[in-house]
Amino acid sequence: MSGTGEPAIVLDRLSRWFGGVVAVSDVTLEVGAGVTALLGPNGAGKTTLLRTIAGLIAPSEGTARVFGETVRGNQAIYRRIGYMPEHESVYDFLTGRQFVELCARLQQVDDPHAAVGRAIATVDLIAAQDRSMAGYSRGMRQRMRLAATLVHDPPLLLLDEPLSGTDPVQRLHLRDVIRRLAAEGRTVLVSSHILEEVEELAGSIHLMVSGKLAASGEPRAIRQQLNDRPFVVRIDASSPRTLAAGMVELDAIESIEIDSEGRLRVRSRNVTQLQRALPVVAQRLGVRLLRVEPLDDSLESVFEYLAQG
Amino acid sequence: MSAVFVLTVRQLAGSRRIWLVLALVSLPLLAGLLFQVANATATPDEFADDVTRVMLVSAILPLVMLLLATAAFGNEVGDRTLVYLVTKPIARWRIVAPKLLASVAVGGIPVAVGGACAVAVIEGGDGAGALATGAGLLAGAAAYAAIFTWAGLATRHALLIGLVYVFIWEAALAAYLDGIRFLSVRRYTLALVHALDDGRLASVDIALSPLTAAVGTTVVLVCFTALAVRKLIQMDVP
Repeated sequence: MSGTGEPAIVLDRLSRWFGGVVAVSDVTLEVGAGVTALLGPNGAGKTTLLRTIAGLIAPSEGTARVFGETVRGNQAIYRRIGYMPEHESVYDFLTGRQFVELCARLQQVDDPHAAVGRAIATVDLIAAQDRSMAGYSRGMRQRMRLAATLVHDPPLLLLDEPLSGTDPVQRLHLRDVIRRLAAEGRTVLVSSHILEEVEELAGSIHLMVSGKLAASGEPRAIRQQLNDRPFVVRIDASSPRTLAAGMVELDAIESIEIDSEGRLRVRSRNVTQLQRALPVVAQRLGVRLLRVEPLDDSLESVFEYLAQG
Repeated sequence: MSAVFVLTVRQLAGSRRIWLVLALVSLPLLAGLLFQVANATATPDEFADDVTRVMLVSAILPLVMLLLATAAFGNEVGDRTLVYLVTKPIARWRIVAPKLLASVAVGGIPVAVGGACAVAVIEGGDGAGALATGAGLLAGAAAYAAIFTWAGLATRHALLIGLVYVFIWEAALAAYLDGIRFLSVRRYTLALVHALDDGRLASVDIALSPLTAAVGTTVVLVCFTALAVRKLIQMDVP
């Protein structure tokens, strides 16, 4: 749908700062057809990057090109871009249908009535289309905003956290819709801070941390990097020294420490193996496991690790 | 373009500010009715001129336009819905112009009609005077709309800055300092009303030629509209 095999989005050493705060730093990447995800913790610079690509803010340095053109100040290119912002603000006094219709008219769609009907049917909100958006749930707003984003059938969709605020059923439905849109040949760039969310949605992932591109690749490769990172687990057991002696021979273990309160701090590079071996060893030694707790499993720590790598 | 106009009219007419606008607009008419029923000492001409100069042109017109025109973009900047307009393949002037027209439609027309009706009531059915008042007020409304629409885009403190402009610059400085009378929408409006019907505001010292007033109004309208378009092109959209 992008026409050629060329990437729809090309960023070259793109940086954007606000005063003294660097939001995006020296990002170079290309995005082609299919679903691509920008993954990173809150504040990683995903939204700033998407807003720069959408031409809403100017880069401080570097360039952002969409279909070979600069977006900033180039209104004509919005015929080929659908941008869905992260925040859920809408014109609350409009019904869902009126909102999508407004976007269709501003996009100068040939047959707005039919296009609006198609877009709303795509997100499965026909039944609620004539209700005021003020009364919509967050998930319904997300879906109607997506309908407004794709009403002019653009070859490029920029979706900032499109699944946030949706319940599990809505999430599955939206995921299917986004996949289907990409399968029709579109380029879809989505942002998210949840790995599991984009893992099943995107063909490739760009990890961002502190405004920088930390890693890029297929979801499986990213997941592997996450699994391979050092992992620290705190274990409360009825007999910590016995358990430590039994575990030290396991291949998965890098080091074991016993802290002042008698709890084990186990460092491993193979979480899966550790998860399997720990209960077996404890049972064999007659040790009761009271608590097993990952110490650095926050998303930030994962991203920090990858950024350092 | 009409989509933005209709959207903005709905935004402005549906906001709480519209009640304050309606209350302000009804004041001159109320004054006119009181004049007719009360035993007034002033002549109808004197009273109509005072209502036009003091109530309409110095207070109600700028206040109404300030309330509405700053909200034409201000609301969308504040609640971040502006993104839905600027990510569309339309020239920026086609967003600014309908917003400006919408604030004139929702604010300027009621002020002009209310003012014309008030003059007609006070003057006992003077159609020419009422029309001149309405037309002059409408021209002033367009100039104020351009200034305050730009202000709503340029700053989050547009209301405060607008109040300073109306009550410090126009009411205090431009009213008494002849050197800056060329830079006052209030003076343009008074001069235009007088130019359209020389029987109106005959007792008021306007000190501005009709041509200067017409050119001044046009320059303000064009320049501030252009500034708003430029701002919309260059700004970081929230």
